[in-house]
Amino acid sequence: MSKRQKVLVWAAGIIALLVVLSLLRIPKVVLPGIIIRAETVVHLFGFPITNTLLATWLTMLVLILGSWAITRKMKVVPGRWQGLLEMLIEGFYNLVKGVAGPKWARQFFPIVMTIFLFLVTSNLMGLTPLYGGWGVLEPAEGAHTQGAQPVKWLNESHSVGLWVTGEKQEAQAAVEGTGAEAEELYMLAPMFRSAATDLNTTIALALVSVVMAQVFGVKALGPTYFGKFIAVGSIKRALTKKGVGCVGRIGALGLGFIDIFVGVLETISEFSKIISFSFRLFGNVFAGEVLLGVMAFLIPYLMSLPFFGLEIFVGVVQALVFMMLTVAFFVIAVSGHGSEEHAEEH
Amino acid sequence: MDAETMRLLASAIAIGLGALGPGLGLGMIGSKAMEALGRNPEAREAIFVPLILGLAFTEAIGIYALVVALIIKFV
Repeated sequence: MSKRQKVLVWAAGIIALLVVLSLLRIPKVVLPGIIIRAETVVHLFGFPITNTLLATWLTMLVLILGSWAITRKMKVVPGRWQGLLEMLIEGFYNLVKGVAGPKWARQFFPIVMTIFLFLVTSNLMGLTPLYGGWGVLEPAEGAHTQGAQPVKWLNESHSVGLWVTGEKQEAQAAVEGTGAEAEELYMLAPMFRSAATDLNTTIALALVSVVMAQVFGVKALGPTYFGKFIAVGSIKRALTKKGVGCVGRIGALGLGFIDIFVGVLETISEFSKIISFSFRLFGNVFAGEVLLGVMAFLIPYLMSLPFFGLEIFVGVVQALVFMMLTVAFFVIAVSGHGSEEHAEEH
Repeated sequence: MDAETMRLLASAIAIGLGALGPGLGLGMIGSKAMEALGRNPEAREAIFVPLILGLAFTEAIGIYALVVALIIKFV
């Protein structure tokens, strides 16, 4: 038996053991609560730090250390990791260049690629066992008692505990039998939670994307960029244009007012981009977590696996979608607004 | 019917009806993309980006419904 086969046999044995243990319900597992707001897990200098923020920092750490380690000793003929990174960067650069053209691709690429790498890393890391299963036990309070369970403490100082499963009374009875205390209901706040399951993260990314679109717009077109939102240009032209009769002038004025209305719509659509960006990502990743949680308890082991595959796919696709939409909005911002430009050219 | 029942029902209706439209839309986009690919297989690269963008915009509506359903259910 080769070394690889031995490792595989060991892995299969450990997995089989875990499956048997969980079918015998050791250790007991409870259905996790579905909580939309990110839980505060630690306090740092008086600031509450949520688990999604910790996950964000972890993602950043992985990205920074990873790229540092890979590019530390760069070679002309790349090794395996350097080759992977080069392939990734080059492929996406060509993709961005295809959409934005070579001139703007150089400026767009750092921002959109950072967004993509951050999201894909955070989404994929959110599927690892490091996330979700362990964390801080907090006393359940107020309205957020869904998924709260009694706790069986494993040591005197109440720092390590296990959730007790089953109905509340049953659990109480079981705990009383072992001499541990479980008067209060506790709920688990995972130490790490996938960064995009917090609306704050996704809104922050959406704001970066939308604000940078305005920055690039101004960079490309100068102050005329804002003519897209405050479209008084055509009214001005209608009033000052020479050689048109009264009827023509009134018609042009009417078109001018329509332009103003279109400008208002453009402004609204700019703000709705923030909402659509953030909710798309948040909804997808959060729904993925809920889906995995539900499936894991519906048909354990059999059902989870295909859905993990789906979630890997969704994580990558959502990162790609966020990136490509950002590129598309950047391109729209820098390419100006057809009619007015044409009018000025003539 | 008490409030909790209504809440369950409302979230189910929200996601159920909200998934209907985007589902149809995604199907249409996918079918047209496949059609285009069938007619002109070399256009794969050119089709890919608009396809992804179209899918993202359509799917976003379904996600809104999902978020509304989650908010009704859990907030």
